[in-house]
Amino acid sequence: MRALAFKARVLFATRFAEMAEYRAEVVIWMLSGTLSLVMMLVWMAQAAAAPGGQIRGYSAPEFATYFLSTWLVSQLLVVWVSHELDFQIRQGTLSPQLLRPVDPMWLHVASHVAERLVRIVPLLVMVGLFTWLSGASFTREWWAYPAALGLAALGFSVRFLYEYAIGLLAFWTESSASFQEVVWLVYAALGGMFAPLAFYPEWVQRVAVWTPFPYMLGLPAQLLAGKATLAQAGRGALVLLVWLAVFWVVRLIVWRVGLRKYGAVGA
Amino acid sequence: MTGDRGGAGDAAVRVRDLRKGYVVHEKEPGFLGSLRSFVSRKSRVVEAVRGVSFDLAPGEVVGFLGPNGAGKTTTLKMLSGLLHPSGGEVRVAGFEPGRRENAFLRQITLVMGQKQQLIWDLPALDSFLVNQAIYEIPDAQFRATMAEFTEVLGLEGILKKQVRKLSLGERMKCELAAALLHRPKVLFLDEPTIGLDVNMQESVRAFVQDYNVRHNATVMLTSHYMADVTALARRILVIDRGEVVFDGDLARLAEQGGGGKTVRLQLRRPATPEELGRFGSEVRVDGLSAELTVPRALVSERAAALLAELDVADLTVEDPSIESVMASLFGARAGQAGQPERTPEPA
Amino acid sequence: MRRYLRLVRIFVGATLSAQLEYRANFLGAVLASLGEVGVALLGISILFGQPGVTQVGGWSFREALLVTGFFMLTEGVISVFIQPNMSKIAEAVRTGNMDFTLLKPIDAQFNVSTRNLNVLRFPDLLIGLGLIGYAASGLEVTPGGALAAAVLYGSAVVIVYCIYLGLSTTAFWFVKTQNVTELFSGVFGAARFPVAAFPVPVRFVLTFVLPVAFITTVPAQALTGALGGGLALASPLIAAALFLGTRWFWRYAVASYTSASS
Ligand SMILES: Nc1ncnc2c1ncn2[C@@H]1O[C@H](COP(=O)(O)OP(=O)(O)OP(=O)(O)O)[C@@H](O)[C@H]1O
Ligand SMILES: [Mg+2]
Repeated sequence: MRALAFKARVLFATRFAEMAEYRAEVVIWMLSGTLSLVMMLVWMAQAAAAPGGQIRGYSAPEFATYFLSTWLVSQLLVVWVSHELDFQIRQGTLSPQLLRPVDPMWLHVASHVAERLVRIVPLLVMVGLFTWLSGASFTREWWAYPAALGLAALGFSVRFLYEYAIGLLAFWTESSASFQEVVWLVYAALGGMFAPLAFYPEWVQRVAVWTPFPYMLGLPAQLLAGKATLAQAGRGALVLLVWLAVFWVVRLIVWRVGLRKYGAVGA
Repeated sequence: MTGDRGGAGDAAVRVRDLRKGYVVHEKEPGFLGSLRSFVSRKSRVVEAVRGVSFDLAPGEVVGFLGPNGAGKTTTLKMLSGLLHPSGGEVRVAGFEPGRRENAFLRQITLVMGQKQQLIWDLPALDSFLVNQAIYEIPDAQFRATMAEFTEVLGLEGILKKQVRKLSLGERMKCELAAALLHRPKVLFLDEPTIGLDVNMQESVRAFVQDYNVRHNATVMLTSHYMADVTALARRILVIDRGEVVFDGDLARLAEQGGGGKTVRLQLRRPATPEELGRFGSEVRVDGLSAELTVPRALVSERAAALLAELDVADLTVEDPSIESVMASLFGARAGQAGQPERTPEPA
Repeated sequence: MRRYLRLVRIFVGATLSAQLEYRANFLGAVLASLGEVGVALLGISILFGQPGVTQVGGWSFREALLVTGFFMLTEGVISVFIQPNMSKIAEAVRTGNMDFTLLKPIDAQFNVSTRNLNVLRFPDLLIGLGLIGYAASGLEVTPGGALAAAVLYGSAVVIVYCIYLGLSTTAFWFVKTQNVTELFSGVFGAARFPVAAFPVPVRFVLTFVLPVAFITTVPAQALTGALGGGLALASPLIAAALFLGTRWFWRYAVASYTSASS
């Protein structure tokens, strides 16, 4: 147990050092995820131009709050592990990692968590700046914050696992990057990056509730915007837990089968 | 675009007081170190090359030796125009490399044993065709060169395989061919045989030699395999910590380095190191065979004495291997006086 | 000039044959293209699908669709022609393979900009053109408008290329700059809507600070005949200025690469 804690600490510290080296890139990654910000601006302009200054009960500042919240949450959900796996499997650099007595997944977990720490300060600065510029106002209910954070953590875990499984597809196909892209599009669309889910066509909403995406992105954002209840948060957490279990198993199976393939033919 | 050729004389390569300093950032290891360098980066200048001067005549082959980090690669990169010197003067084939004129680039090549230019997913032949276009090689010349290289390097059968499916050695052969396709007059070879087996090293060497003779090309070669250097180069340049510490032929390097010759004995009766110590230094005894170093001037005298006083089955006198010469050169410089390394790691 | 055309032909041949090695990728790429257009359409239909909304920033649905078409087309141009080359710059600097490029007796900028093509994303181009065609079929388009749109889109492509090259060139100084180009894709995301859909200050920024308006909005306006002379003139001028600027920047970067790094 002590040994494990020590391992984890060293692992984490080196990853943090690595990420600190990439601090400029971290800020760039943050700024490159602009879809929510673009949508925010468009909807704000729409609301301002609409009669009554509202669309479906959202005024311009409320749009600002919602989209800034999705932006913030999406920043916490960033996962790049599938790119890394795709690269490692194709270049054969996965092999040395397989020689180590630890599942390489934990290395990736450590980098992602470490990166989140590097990200947090500039992230808060930027949210503050955008809030000030756009006139957004977040909820005053204190419980919404831990609830949103918890959902984001669960959402991150879910996303990490399915992205990991997608990355492992590189064992079989060269196009895991394309699949990743498609899944990202679905995540962004159903997560509510284009608009609050209620704005979507009926049939899209009906499909969306069966996926994890609205609960990992839209729901925590609504919590921060003060438009969701604690009960909804609880239900969302349950759904995410189920998905977490599902993807945990999926990832494990893909990993085992993939390794057998890798062992048999190389990559 | 002929470049100004004035003042270069007829040396193929002319280097005067060449210098290069790298600015490097430093970071302490670990978490605190990252945090600190997060806030402020410390930097300092590494003097990789510190006042190197030499001339190479057209057609000359020179071995460029030195321990790791001596500045060999840095020098070669400056000679090929990839790095701008921080001081001094360079002329290669009459050009100033730093200006990277096309006419200059057509005259030279740089082979880096650790890097590759071939297109990974395609057969090497495709990369050759790309290079043909880039260097504007006429078809006839291209075919002739390919024929020549195919014969000398034994490329038969590997040109149409995807590069990623070639073995390291095969790939290196193709790399060499790609790098020399435009028939450069000046070749800079940076560890061209790294990681290759003895046979493959042999064929790379043979190829370079053949090319040198056929096209009267100037070759500057670095390698940590001494056999490369002894097989190809008569002249040796030794560089250490950015300075030339030796420039001359192989034989003279042996003299300068060891100052003595190695005497090898096969004995019929075992002898103790103390007994042998009277005849020379650095005595090594292993059962019935023994080895000792004898000052150059005293070789015949000591050999006669050995034959007279011991029961010797066989006696040979050799120049010390270049490995041990290098080891003693750098061993001495490193300040461990009179303690040459036992196993002569190639410096 | 002839020589450079010949080189382009050879480069294209080489990169095409390299990609035909991986035929199976095609399916994944088509899937991604379809996903991309699907989501783009979803985005704009949500926007127009709200009760009482018939136009966004003065643009009807058809006209906005035209912008979406130019957006998809540009995404295609980026992923087929620009990105595959630009991402290799950072990689080449990191692995030291830039050395080989600099040792070649041809213009290095030309070399790094034309070596690669990603044919897999070719469907993006077709989808973009298809969308433009479909949207334009319901609008009144004059031949003069079409010609102007084509010319202006040409300068839009130059602008995009220059921005990418400028950003990728920073790779000579920083580690892992593949991501800098991401920065532009982020900003470029704003081009999926006409600039008029944004609040006024943002519109200003997207036109005069970041030339996003010139990439999709301006060609679309030219096509519908709604473009003023000022913007029509500005686009080629900006393209030319950017081209000269990035060319200078590239040369400066190469010069300092050869004086500093390995
Ligand atoms: N890009 C760089 N930035 C900073 N320092 C460098 C760089 N390249 C080389 N150096 C330093 O310059 C010195 C000389 O390096 P160089 O690569 O020329 O050595 P070398 O003789 O080729 O060694 P080796 O035999 O190991 O290849 C070394 O101390 C090295 O650390
Ligand atoms: Mg070296």
